[in-house]
Amino acid sequence: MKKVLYSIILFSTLSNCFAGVGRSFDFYQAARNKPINLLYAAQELVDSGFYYSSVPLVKEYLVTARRINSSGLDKVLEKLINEVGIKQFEMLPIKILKRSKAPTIKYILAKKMFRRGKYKQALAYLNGTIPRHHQIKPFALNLEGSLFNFIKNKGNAIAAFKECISRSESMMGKGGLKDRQMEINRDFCLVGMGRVYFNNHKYDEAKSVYLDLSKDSYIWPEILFEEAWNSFYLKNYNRALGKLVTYKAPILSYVYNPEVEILNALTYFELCMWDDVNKTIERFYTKYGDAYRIVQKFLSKHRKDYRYYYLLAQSKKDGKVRGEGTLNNMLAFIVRDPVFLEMYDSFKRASNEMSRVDKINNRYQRYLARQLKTSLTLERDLIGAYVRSSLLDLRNGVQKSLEGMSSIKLEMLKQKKNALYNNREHVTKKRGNIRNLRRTSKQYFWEFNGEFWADELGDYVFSLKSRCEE
Amino acid sequence: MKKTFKVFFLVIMIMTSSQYALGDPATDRRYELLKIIDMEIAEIVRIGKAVSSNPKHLIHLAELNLEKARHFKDLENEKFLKMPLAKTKNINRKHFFKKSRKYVSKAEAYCRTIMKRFPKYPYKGDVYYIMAFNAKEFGRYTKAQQYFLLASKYRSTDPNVKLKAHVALADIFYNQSKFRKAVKHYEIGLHKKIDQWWTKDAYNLAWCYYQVGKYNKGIKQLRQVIKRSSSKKYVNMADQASRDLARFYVQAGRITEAVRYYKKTFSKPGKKLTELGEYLIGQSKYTKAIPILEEAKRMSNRDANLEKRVNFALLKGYGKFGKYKKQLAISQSLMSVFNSKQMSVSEQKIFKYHVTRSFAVAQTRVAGKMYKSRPKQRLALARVVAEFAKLMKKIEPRKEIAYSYLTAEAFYQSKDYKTAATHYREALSLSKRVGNKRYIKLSLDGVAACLGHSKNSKDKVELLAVYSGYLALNPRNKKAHTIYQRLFALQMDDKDLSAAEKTLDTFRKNFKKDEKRSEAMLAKIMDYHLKKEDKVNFNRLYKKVSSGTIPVGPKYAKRLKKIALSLQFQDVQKASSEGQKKRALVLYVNIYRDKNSNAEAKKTSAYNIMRMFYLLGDSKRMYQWADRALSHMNKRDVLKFQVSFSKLAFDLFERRHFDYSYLIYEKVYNRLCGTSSTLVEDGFNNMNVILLSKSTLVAGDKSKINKLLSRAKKCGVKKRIVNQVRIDLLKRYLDDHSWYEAYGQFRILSKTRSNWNNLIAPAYTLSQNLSKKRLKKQVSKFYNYSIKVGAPVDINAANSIYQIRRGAFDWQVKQFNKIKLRFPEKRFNSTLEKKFKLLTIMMTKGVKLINLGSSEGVVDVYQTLIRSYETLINSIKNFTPPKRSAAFVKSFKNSMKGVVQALEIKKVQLYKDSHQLIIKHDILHPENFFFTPDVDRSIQYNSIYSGLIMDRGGIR
Repeated sequence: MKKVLYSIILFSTLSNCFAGVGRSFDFYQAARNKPINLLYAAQELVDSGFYYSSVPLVKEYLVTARRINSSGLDKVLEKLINEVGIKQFEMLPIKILKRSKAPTIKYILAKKMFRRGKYKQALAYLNGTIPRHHQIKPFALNLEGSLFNFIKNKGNAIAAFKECISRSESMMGKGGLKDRQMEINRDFCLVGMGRVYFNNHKYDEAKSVYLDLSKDSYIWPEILFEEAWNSFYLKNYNRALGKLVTYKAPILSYVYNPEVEILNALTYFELCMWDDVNKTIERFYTKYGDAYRIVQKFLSKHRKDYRYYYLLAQSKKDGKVRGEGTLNNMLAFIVRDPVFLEMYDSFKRASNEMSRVDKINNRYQRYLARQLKTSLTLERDLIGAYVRSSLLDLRNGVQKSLEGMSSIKLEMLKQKKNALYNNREHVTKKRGNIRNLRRTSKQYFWEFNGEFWADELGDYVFSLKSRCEE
Repeated sequence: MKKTFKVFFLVIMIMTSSQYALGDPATDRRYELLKIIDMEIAEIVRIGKAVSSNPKHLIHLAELNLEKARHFKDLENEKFLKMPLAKTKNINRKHFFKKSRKYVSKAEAYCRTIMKRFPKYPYKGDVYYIMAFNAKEFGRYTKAQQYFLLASKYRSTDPNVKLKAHVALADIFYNQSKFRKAVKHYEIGLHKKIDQWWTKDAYNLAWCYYQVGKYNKGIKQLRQVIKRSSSKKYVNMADQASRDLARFYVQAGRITEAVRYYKKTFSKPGKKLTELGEYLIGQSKYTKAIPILEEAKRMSNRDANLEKRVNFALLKGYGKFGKYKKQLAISQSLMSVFNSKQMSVSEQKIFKYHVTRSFAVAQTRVAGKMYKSRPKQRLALARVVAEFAKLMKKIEPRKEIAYSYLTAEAFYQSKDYKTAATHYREALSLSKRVGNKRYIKLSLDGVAACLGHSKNSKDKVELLAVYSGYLALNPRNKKAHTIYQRLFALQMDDKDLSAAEKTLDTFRKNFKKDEKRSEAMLAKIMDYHLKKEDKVNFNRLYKKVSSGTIPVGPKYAKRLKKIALSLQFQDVQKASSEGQKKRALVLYVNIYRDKNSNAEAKKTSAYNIMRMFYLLGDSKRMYQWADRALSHMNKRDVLKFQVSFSKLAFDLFERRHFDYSYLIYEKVYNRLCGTSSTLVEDGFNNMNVILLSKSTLVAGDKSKINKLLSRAKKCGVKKRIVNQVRIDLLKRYLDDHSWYEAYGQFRILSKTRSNWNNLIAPAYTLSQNLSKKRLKKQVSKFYNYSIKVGAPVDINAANSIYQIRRGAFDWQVKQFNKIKLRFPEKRFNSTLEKKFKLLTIMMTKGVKLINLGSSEGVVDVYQTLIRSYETLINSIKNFTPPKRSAAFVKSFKNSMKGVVQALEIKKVQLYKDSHQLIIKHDILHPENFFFTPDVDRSIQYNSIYSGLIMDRGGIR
């Protein structure tokens, strides 16, 4: 009976779906003379659950309509972005996007401006354009906070991030994808606050904020490194080293960040522990010495073949290991990136929509398939482009780190040389002990014994005393 | 690039493992350093391999190589210095220092690679700085300068690099003595760059300021150097800066501050100041030195030696500025030291030198132009000279006479003749005592000169005696030249002319070349005689002048001549002005005949007599005196009086005294031949006219004409005029039937085309009288040419050409006359027709002949034509057909009446035309009556001379 009931419900749903698709098609047919019909067609598809198929219609509407029905558009976009994300619309030119007053479009415009480094313009797009309870608001607040931070408006930045945290939390609890997005957004806003303090040399405040970030957070592994820097600037070298040693835990082995070693070496350098500096440098060169060349060669070979990059990431995601180790490590890091994961999931949902469309056996199938294919291709390319740009960033990071490490070594040699020129010793004294540790109420001291427990991660502390001359 | 890194890395590896041997601690440390440098290089190579090549890495590599090169250079130097000298001489330095050189080249290669591979590299300053230092350390200063300049211009990672480059550049310019440039770079470099070497560089900058004359800035800089030198942060340059600060003060003119500084800094400032003053004197900076030395003198009161030293320095300083009085004071002060024999030999020499020099310079100044307009100062200076002379007399007693004499000279120059005379007399008495002839002479001269300026009469008499005495001793020296003139002037003032003349004579004998001066003296004497109207003495002296006994210049000789002449003609002019012409004439004749009268007087008088006879109208005497006047005149005179002579000759011609006229023309022409005078052509023309107008041309006349013609070109007579004369001569020869002589002239004239229109008639006449065939052809040729060029053709020429061309017309007439009218009827008609035809031809040819313009032609042609018509009319009228009936005859006659009537009309027309033409062209011809048939022809005038009314010469 239940089965019959389910099948009746399914049938009625399907019949409703097909009715929506039919209306959408009719609107689409009538859109030649009235572009607003494109929006109606998209609305029908969204209502019928064909989100990705509706994306090309929304885009077409934005391009062809003489006057944009912003409220109508926003209604469609609100549902759409929830499922599809905003990447698809970010590809539209500013000229087109500017024509709409829809809050979501304003957010997209601000983001575009942010990427171009036009911070004040980006702030202008956000200023009073997005309603408080709009679902895009938390993201807009995150962006706003970052923008204020960049233009060194500390007060507004902190306020924006604080509001972002509260807005994100208020929108959580609905379950599903949206909850995860809001959680990540909240964490980023939290870290954003820490960054604001760090940027303003308020390392103690920054430290407190960083400590508020849960270890369960998606973004915690990468933020740990920022914490280490903060400790370094606080001259709490032992804690900095403790934070950095966390990356040696197997659970974080996927993290590909050569700068970790730089900070390690720098910390040892500050402690005048030349042998440790040397060891770190050697370790660094063993691991990253050829990375730049390898990635460079790889990127030169495949240029902008986004499909290839997508397939590569997909195979990595599927657990396949191919080719060079460095590249594998980098890909492993990229495929665990929340942004990548978000995009990848989105693409998977689009594929599911495709299988739904394939099942339709009437005259609307071709109409839907055509719309969906456009969206899917773009989504795939977007993933490919993201993989490529991530690789480029990692390559640049490697280069920067190599040079940084080289500078450390040269600086160390220079100091040695200066000591010889001035006819004095370079390295003095022995290693230190536990008394050199500095703590706050939020931190606990753990003796480091070479093993890793998940709840200990990030809380390791070294106890070394500086060997530098007074 | 990567290859380079690989190779380099290998080298490093090898080097780090084996190359650094151990020795003493310093060397050990050096090797340790080299090891570290190698590690640094290896690190950069590694990063270069890991990421793409970067100019920063290359710069670092260059720096490290340079550092390494320096260490090796030090090691090589140490090794080199430890080697025995003999061994080092033979060593191949290039090979010995190859290691350091190698790393330098490497460093440079890296720099060049950067510039080549990264031309847009923003921090080129770093690269150039390395290259510059490289070049500097290895002695390539020009290159170093270029690179430092570039390093100072381009951006660098470290802002100190720019500053260092500026300081390095400044150092280079400082060493090249280019202080202005050095200042610029030091200023930029030292403005911000503050390290331990700041004091050293600032000290250099201070000296640069000094060299470019910015002393105050230099002082400021040195003070800062002294101040900063007290800090341990800087190199201590206080000693050098303190030492030099006083010099800077002096140069800045802040003497008081310099003195204050010395007083404050040193225990014996006097000595220091003297040293400074001496230093400045040594640097030829006398203006700065003097106040310091004066200050030093004030501080050296108790120290005799220091005072002496200061005095010597001051003596030198004052000497350069002509401060004679101060110099004298110093000299007098030093004289006491000299007298007390507290001077060393060298000091004595220096003292003597300075006093002698000061004396000599002051002496020269007195005589120079400087004090010419300042007599008081000059006299004061002369007194200083006298004081110096006193010192010199003590220093050099054996030259006492000379110094006395020179003192006198100084006073003489200052125009204090009285004091001068005293000193001259002193010198004279001293020189007489020792028998010094030279100074006796000079002193005597001086005394004389001084007396010459005195107005006292007693002095004048003494002066005359001194002059005479002097001249007796020295008749020819330079001074004597002046003394003669002074003596002469004195004598002239006393009006003692004979003595003056004697002085002049003696002067002339001793100074023969100075004619100007003797001329002036003579002029004074002559003027005196003229003023006194003493003609006798004047003429006596004038004779001497004109005979050359007294030589004078041409201008003055001319002037004297004029004066003498005017004296001679004084009476004549008086008589002339009073209207006593006869008396004037007599006086002129007397002057002319006077044996004492000179040529000029004679010439003038002859000319004036000629003029007087001209006015009196006495042609013969007029000619005679003209002839005499001309005999005394040269070309210039004749030219001057040419108008008068022209008038005279023309007047004689008009009065029909052709011979006199001819002779005057001839003489004037001969004198003026070759000049541009108008009288040359006039004379030439008139002489020929006079000769050709003679009724009979004798051989002498012909030769005269030929002579005139042959000389004409040389005398400047135009060809046109010569040709005209030749044409006249040709016509005269034709008139005289001298055919061959005429033909001779004709041939000469025919060579010039412009003469051809005048030669048509003569050619025809000659062709009639000479058997020359070409003459007739020439008539036509000349005529045609004349018509072609439009040259005027006269009536004779037209007649001649008519005579030549009439033949054809005459032949037609002859043919016409030959034909007789005959019968039968057919023949009559044909003959009549022939006659008419011929008549038409005659008419045509006749018109052509008439058009030639010949009067003879017009008359002849018309006459012939009219006669031909008449003949035809008559022959028709009178013809009666033979053997025909009366009726036929009557009918024939009636029919001929019409023909006759038409011919009659034509004949009358011809009469009319001919008559009109004759009247129109005023044709005068004996046959003119023919054309006036109504006039009675029985009365006709027949001249015995075939129509000529008068001959050319007229009646004598």
